[in-house]
Amino acid sequence: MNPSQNTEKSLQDCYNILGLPTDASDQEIKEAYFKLKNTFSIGNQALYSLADENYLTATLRDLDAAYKRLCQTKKKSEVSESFIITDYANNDFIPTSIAQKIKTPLIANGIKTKDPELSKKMQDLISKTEKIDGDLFKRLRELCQISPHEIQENIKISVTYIEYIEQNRFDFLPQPVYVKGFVTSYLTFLGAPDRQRLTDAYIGNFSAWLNQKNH
Amino acid sequence: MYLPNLQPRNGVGRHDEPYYQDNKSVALREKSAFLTNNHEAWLAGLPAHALLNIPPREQIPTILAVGGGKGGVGKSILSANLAARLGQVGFSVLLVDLDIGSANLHTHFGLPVPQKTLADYVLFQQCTFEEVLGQTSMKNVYLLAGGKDEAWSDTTDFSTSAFSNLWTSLLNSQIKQGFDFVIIDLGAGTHRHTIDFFVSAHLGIVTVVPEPTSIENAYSFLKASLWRIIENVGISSNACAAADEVKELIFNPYASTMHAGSHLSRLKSLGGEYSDLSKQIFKALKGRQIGFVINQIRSQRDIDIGESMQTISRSYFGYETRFLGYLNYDDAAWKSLRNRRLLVADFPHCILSKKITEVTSRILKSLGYL
Ligand SMILES: Nc1ncnc2c1ncn2[C@@H]1O[C@H](COP(=O)(O)OP(=O)(O)O)[C@@H](O)[C@H]1O
Ligand SMILES: [Mg+2]
Repeated sequence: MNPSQNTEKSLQDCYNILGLPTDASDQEIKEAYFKLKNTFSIGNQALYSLADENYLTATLRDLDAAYKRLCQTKKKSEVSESFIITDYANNDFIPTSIAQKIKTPLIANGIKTKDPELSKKMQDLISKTEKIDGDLFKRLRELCQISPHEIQENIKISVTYIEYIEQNRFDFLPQPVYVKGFVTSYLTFLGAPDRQRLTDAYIGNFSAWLNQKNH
Repeated sequence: MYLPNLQPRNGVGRHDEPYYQDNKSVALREKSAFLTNNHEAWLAGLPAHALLNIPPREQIPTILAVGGGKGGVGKSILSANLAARLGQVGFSVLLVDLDIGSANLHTHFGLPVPQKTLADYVLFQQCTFEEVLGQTSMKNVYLLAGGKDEAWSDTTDFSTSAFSNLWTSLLNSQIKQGFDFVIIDLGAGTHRHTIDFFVSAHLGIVTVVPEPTSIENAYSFLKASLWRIIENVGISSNACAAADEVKELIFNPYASTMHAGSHLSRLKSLGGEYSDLSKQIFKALKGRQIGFVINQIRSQRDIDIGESMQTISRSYFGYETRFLGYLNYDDAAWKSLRNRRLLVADFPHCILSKKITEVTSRILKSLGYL
């Protein structure tokens, strides 16, 4: 019997699936879901020699169902649900569409670059800012009046990742090599100037954080 | 407690004690939730031969077995230094070198090849259990050394029965010698005796390094352990035939209609005729813990592998798993071996020693001591 055939799950089951106590906070639910989703993605090295496609698909489906159910119960905003990826044919947590973009970085011109005034405003903001981090990216995005959702639609990076990047939540981000692709696409989409330098600085911070964490 | 009549040899490996010392062990032991609640379930999955004459739970030491299926992943480094750390906080620890064929725990303590070894006790029965116990340079840590590796080569299959005296002695070592902990350093591979000791421990520690070969071996090791637990439960509940059928259903999915899924999902779906047996199997799985330590890490990603393996093994096999932490790759590991001194004594402030302390406290926590 496949675990996923059991469509009706009690709330208790949902918490169990996420490995959480029933008094878990919204944030804990989100983090547990996110972590488990990564754990059972086919690309995870830790699954080596054990990855049975049916098992993984069933596990991911259970995870999604449990998370969705808890989101609805807790009347969470749509934003939280938006990063449920249901492309099980490619049940890698990072969808192929993004993976390809990472390999061949999006070179297309940003949608707003054609506006020279905006371009100048962005340049000013960058030169005024001392610390290059997610917060700067966020302010650039707000300057362009683009919502995280709009970015998600256009470059297929989930809102969650975008938020984590902007909040410098390195502990929830995938490897730097992926994040580099995300940041490049993100800045390109905004049409931000000086993209290479900004990306390098951000990835530099990330790597420094990783090193510090491991020692 | 009983002190073996052996002197440390010529001061080799003798260290000053740079650590704090406090005698909490008795108080800590009384708090152990594990020893008071899960003892029965633990018994359900013990090797059949060990089920005879099990002493009451207050009278057996807490048994840890360090395995993982692959050689060179740090089982001995972890066992030796974990023992030293537990000794430091006041527990009396017996370390057993069961890496038959390549025993070298004595070397981690800077001790020469011992005169009397496990072979003399288990194989030749030329001496008593107490005679093989040796002191080490570390406080409260005693070693049952391996060695005489050639002696084992005639014994092609180390059957369980060859070790039953040893097992009984280990269980009795709390009453007779006053040991709080027994730490067993298992060898590589999935030999029958290796798996036997692993599944008989309160806490089985799986040591892995972040490489596909090691990950693969760790999972094979866990599969072999599940197999053995089911077999044991069959023997102890007088249902060997049913246990054989269950093993077939779980390990050979093509024998049934359940092609997909994990071992756990197949276990869960066992039908009515096996319901008593499967209850016993789940009880046995709940009664012991499997902990993961990831060694030689160099990045966050490596740590994540250890943590993921913990989650995956719980979901795939149904074990009670714990992530016990990680050990950094550190040159101090081989430097201390060259200096013929134990790592945590030779380099008490290196990152590896610190991480071993963290792992020790997580182990105590997961067993209910802290
Ligand atoms: N964390 C580490 N950092 C550096 N070297 C290590 C580490 N752990 C183990 N080693 C090296 O690996 C070798 C094998 O370790 P050992 O504990 O003997 O493995 P096992 O008992 O699993 O065969 C050691 O000699 C040591 O040099
Ligand atoms: Mg060894």
